[in-house]
Amino acid sequence: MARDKPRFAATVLGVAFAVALVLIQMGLFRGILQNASISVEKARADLWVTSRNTANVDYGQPFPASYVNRVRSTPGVLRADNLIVWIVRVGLPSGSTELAIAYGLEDFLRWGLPWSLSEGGVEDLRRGNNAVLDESAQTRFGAFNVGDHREFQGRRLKIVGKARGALSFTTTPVAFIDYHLLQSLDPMNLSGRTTYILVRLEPGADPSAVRAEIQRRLPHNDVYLSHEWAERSRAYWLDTTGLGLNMFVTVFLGCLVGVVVVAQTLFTSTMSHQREFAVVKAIGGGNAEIYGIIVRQATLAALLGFSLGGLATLAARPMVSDLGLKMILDGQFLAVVLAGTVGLCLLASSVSYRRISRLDPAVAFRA
Amino acid sequence: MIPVDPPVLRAEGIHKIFPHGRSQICAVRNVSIALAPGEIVVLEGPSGSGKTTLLSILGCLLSPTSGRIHFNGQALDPRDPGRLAQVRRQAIGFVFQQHNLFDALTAVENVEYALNIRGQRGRAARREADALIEKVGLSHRRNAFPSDLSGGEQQRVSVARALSGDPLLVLADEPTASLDWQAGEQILGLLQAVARQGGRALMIVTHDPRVRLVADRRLILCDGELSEASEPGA
Ligand SMILES: Nc1ncnc2c1ncn2[C@@H]1O[C@H](COP(=O)(O)OP(=O)(O)OP(=O)(O)O)[C@@H](O)[C@H]1O
Ligand SMILES: [Mg+2]
Repeated sequence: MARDKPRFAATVLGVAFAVALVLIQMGLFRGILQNASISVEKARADLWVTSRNTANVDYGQPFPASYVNRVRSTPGVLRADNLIVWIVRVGLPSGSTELAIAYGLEDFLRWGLPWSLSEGGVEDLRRGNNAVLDESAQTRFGAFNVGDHREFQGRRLKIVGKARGALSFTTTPVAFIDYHLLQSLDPMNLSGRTTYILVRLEPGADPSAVRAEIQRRLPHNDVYLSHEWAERSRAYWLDTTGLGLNMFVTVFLGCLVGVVVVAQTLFTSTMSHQREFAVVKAIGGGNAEIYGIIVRQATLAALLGFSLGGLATLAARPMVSDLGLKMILDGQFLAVVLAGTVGLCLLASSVSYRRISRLDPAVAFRA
Repeated sequence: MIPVDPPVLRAEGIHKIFPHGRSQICAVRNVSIALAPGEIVVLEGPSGSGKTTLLSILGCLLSPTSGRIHFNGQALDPRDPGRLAQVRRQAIGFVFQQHNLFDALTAVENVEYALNIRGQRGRAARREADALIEKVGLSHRRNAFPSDLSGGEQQRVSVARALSGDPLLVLADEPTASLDWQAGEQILGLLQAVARQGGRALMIVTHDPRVRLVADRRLILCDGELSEASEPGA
């Protein structure tokens, strides 16, 4: 009975609108949130040692660099190195000052940082006053090229490479600087100190056992499995910015609009076919038949609406990335949204169903 | 002509009272009636006399306020909607004044869907639907949608649909009222064959004088009270 084309189109558009809203919002949200922990996910470490109660990866707190030796001697540890993550001031040619988040390692290649370079290389970081800066710094620092110089904490560093995708939640640009050079940029805070220890385990070692042993040896630090630390970094921004609530409200409103539109259009369409439903009942059709008809309509609307909304979202993707934003839409996420769409459409159709299930079959005889 | 077969349907002392604001309308008063297999009964009466209401009660679509109904020898509890639906599914076909076809389905699909509801599925249902469409002479229009059919063709599809599942009783409310003379003629011929060849009881509500010519009995409802006209053809 879905030959009621204009109304059915309205239903599908309602679903598509809600789906696009939810996909774009959630996709952006996941993109932004991923920035909060992307370096943790990309670094090839199994465990992260942090100072006590460090809130997220951008907010490194110094502790003695020598602790790394206690980690290295722990059974099950293949390799452990200090990593400094520190906020530095960067003087711009214009005379103004911006902030950057500097990552300091002795051997960047070993830990897979930075994970993607568009220009230059990390080999030169050890030779002299050099730095690798992420492409995204352009927006805050203005255009720059490999070979340019910028003042980091008052020291002229040469930019020897451009990283790609090394982002932070706050969009503060990320720089990669040799470990010892970074210490010398802020000796008051960093001399003889580090902010993290990256740990890689021997093959077959039990992560939680090694972690417990490191924790025993460094009672004043915290030790996390990588994914826990990534999770903690994201949770910090979720909790402190209210982004989670904002997201919840948007998704809730999207779903609400979708359900109301679908319920409304499906209901009017069902009511205009009352007589046909009455005939189904007169012939002896039970509620199962009627339920079948309504469910088929709702499911069809959900599937078409989802496809349309999904296509609209994909079409919006290039625009979003032009704005320097990232939209994450993986299969699992799409499957969840699809299931939600079908579920909510069925919920919306229950209004129609309840009305028709009470319909008097004698209506079929009435003019 | 006095029917000798046991009746398909026997109704006794049927009353139907509708609430109407603070008062009540008595649409059917103490009606008793029996319909035999192969019998054609025409029901006439002025507008508002309760014809549609009585037809709905006999068709197990509406519960009477009081009275008893026996279908094929079995007493029906009119307050059990599930049982009434079962009887309709198994043994009653309807033809309405408006054809009331399913807009989204083709002619043959309309019949097939009714067969599905009545419990026939798959290829058997499709074959049966084709046979019924052929019976009403619409094979060449089997795949047309109702909106593309003429009024007479639509009504023929609805007769085919009423015959799905081979019912014992067919009830028609003003089946020719929306049709032109010739189309009405064809539908009447078809309905006559339905009763005579199929051994079904057929009750037709109508103002159409032509129906009297094919009827065995002529009943008149006036203000909810039923009386039998002396000679059917008169
Ligand atoms: N569902 C209902 N609720 C209340 N009153 C009803 C209902 N159905 C019918 N009636 C009333 O019962 C009476 C008989 O109606 P019915 O439709 O059976 O008459 P009818 O003989 O079929 O008339 P017509 O020739 O105009 O079709 C009318 O007064 C009508 O208003
Ligand atoms: Mg009537």
